[in-house]
Amino acid sequence: MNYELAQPIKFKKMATAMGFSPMAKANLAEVHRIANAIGAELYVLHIGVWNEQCQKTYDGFLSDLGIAPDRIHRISREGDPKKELLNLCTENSIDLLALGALVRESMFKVFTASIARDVCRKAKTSLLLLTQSRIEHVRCERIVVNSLDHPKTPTSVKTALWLSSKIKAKELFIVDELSEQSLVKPDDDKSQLAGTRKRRQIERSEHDRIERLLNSCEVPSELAIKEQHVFGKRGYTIAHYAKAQRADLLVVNSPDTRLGIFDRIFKHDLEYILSDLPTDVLIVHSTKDTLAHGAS
Amino acid sequence: MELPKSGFKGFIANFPADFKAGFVVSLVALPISIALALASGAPALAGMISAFVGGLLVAHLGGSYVTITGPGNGLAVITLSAITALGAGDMMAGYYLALGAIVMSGVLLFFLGSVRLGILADFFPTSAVQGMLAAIGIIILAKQSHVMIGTLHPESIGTIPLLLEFARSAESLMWAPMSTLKVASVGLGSLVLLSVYSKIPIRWLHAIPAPLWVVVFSVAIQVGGTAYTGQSFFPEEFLVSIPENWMSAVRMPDFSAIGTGTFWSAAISLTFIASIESLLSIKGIDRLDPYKRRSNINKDLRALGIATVVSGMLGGLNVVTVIARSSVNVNNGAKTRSSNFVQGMLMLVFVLFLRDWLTQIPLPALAAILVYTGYKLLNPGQFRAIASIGLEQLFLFFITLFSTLVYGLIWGIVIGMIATLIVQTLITGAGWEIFRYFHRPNTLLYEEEDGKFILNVNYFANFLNYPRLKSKLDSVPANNILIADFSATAFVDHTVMEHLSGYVEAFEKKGGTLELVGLEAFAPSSTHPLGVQSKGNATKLRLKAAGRSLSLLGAGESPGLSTKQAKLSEFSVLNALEFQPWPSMHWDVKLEQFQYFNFRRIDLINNVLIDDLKRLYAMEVSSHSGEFIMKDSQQLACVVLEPKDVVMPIFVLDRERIFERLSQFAGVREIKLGHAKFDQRFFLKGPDTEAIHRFFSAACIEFLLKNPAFHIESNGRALLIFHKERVASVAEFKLMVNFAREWSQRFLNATSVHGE
Repeated sequence: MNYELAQPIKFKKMATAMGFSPMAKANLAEVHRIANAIGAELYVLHIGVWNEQCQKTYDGFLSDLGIAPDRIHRISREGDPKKELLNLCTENSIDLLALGALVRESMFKVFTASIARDVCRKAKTSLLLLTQSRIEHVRCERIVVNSLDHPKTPTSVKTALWLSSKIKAKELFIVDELSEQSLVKPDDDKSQLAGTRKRRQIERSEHDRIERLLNSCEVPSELAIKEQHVFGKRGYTIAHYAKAQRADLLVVNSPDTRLGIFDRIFKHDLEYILSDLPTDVLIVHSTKDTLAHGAS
Repeated sequence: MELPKSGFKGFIANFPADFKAGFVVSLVALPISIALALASGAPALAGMISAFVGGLLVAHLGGSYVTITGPGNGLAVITLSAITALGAGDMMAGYYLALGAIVMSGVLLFFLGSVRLGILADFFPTSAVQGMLAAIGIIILAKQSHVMIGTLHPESIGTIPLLLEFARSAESLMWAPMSTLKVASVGLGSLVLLSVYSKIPIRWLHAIPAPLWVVVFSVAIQVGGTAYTGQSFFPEEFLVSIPENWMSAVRMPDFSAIGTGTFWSAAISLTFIASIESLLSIKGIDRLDPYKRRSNINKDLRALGIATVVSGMLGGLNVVTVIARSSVNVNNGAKTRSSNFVQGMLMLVFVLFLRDWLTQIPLPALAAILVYTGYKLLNPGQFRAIASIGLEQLFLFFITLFSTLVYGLIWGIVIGMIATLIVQTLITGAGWEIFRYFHRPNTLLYEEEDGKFILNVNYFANFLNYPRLKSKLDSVPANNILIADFSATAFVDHTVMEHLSGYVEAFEKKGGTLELVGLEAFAPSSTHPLGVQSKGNATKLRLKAAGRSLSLLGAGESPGLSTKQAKLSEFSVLNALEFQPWPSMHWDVKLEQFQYFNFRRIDLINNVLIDDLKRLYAMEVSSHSGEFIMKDSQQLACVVLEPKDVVMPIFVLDRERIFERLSQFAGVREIKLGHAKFDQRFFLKGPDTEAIHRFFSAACIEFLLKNPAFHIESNGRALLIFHKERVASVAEFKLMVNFAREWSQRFLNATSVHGE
């Protein structure tokens, strides 16, 4: 894979959905801050009837947060929330959609799916799920990004690096999730030793791969980079790691397939992260232009 | 210690030791094998076939080192019920049909080993397994106590009626004929011998194991009595019967019942109990092994499966790993698997050449051995031990025990598991969590630095998800450092605590350490360190904490220290520090004075160490930021240093820029002290550059460079020092306290600062 060809996604148009939930104001504050940091246009999308009450609350938010109304493009439309939200994104060529989300998906919601999660299972843009929006500014210090051996990874890592430089993050953890299946099962002392050797061997070759990937990136000088190899279930492991490391943002590849009801019941990869969000999550949606062409 | 060599060379080198151990074991195995066969309702030979086939085959194919295989206690109960059920009244026909089920269970065992299901034995709650074993003890005891006093065929069926009938059997001895009295006295005499054997202080007596003494004595009485009176001293029906030529008596197992449910339920029960008994024994013996080798349980299961198939084909019982004979093996200095081979070989020799003597053994003597074994399995002494872990464990033990007696082994353990789940739900209020997360991954293992692993556990840890935890624990070589962090776990049950304690021991033995951290904020269900550890909810804990600080007089109700707290307590005594382990809401130090805690709410403080001048406070702090669904909890081990009468500059010093997020220091520029190495390694910030330059003297810089990276915040009056933003291990805790002490002694007393 030629890592040089992969490009970061430099988000230019950022959107958020306005739902007037208890978290709406904090979300707006957070999204506005991020849009300012990365220098993106900001869209506020609203599905439903935009009545006077809405306008009043919205104006209240803007004045409280000190946001100039012309900073934001506000679009309102009636219809099915999930469908219309995605339509609006496509029509306005939004490349980053930020949504407020609850940390946990309840059992009932597994089947019906909340708007935020359902959207991210179907979206064709990059998504930012905000779990801890605050009105006051809290710096985003630690970012965790996946480094699976996958064609989409270079874009995600480069995007994470670009984002780190924009929001002035301090630490970037490159987490390499590896399958336990490739190890020798530790039945006794002998197989344990064999397992450890195999693990070291895999870690070395993975380290080389990540090194090559990083060499093809612009790494901000302020940023401390830590590489961590973790063996475990893909998706779950990185989420748990992000939680254990108290990361502020988790950056992952977008799923390869659209996720349906079966993926929710028989969880894998991204579904583990979505069902129990460890922190804010950015799902990087690679497009043909950003992927390394000639990917193996 | 050097491991015993393997291969032919090792075989020769270790043979003397292994032969001796194998010989002693065969002396124990001989009476027990015959006794267990009789308890199973099978011919006496069946047990010996199982013993020698097991010894000869598993010694070659197995994956464990010093275990002994043969007929098992738990299996006797299952085999008896299989023979009774399949034979429908005809014990002989039932025996051949049961052989079919035994062969099938061998196939199933081999299958379990092949698909690596050896981990299954760890899947059952400890108290339920103990209850099941005790029930097996009672079942054996109930039946054999009648045989022991000369009633070969008691009327009742079922364990509890049998126990009740014992009084009638005993009463009938009053007007029993002389022959029965002779038999009963041999049985009771044997039981007395077995129970006092270990207390008799005669050395030569102990050269021969107790069960063999029983056999020797009773055979001597029979042979002597027969020679004296000229007719069989004991009636024929009370003697062991072995066919003249057993080779010709071998009959192929009868597979005609293979289409019936009874056959399959027998085969599955046999497989289940055989694997549980074997795996528990292997685990127990691994702890005893002087060379600390770890058995390959899956390989052993496969070997047991093959041996069981062969044994069943020859008319023998299931081959399982047995703990009592294996511990005799270890105690007699066995080094390799050859001792099991020797034991099997000798059993074959006994069968071939000692038939005439074996048929002189009176059944009541064997029944006494079984009664004694049953009593050992029940082990009433363990009730108190279980109760000390927690009354709920005793409850689970008895629930399983009684349901096993009433509904059989399989249902017994199922009911035990369900009861355990219900009790855990009631104690922790986390039933929903258990339901939600039991099939999802919940463990994370990574190597933080070379040779230091972090194992982080989420949600909860109980017997249901223990196999996942175990596979992670197994993958870390025991000579490393492993920190198991439970601070994100809602509760840890007794089964997991028990298994973990085994791992702690194993790590210690091999020169590594396994430390359990994050359990301190838990409310243990008892004073026992292996009791259920549950966080319940924060309010409950707070109430408890408040209750504790109020009831200063209630020193008697101290709820026991965790291992970590015990170590910290030891450390505090050695260093003249005061130690307050219990969570408290009330503290002398205002943590909020530090910027770091500005946006956090403090929930609990525990494990507090205070020096005599009340200048140094080391503690673990649970705090959170955000509330309800946004809640973000954190645990931090830190030291607060309040050097009185010393003026310090306001500053932050760290390596990972944790403090950068503190708004007070946001606009402040980094300060370079002009010491290249120091400047490169640390980030130092503060408003008053001059004061900081004064404060960080050359000696102070040297001192900081020598010590690991600590994060330090000074607010002018006090210092906040911590290592990592998580719970600390005992070693890290000590390091931090020592660092703070030394620093304060060398640089933070009034003279040194003003003197500079």
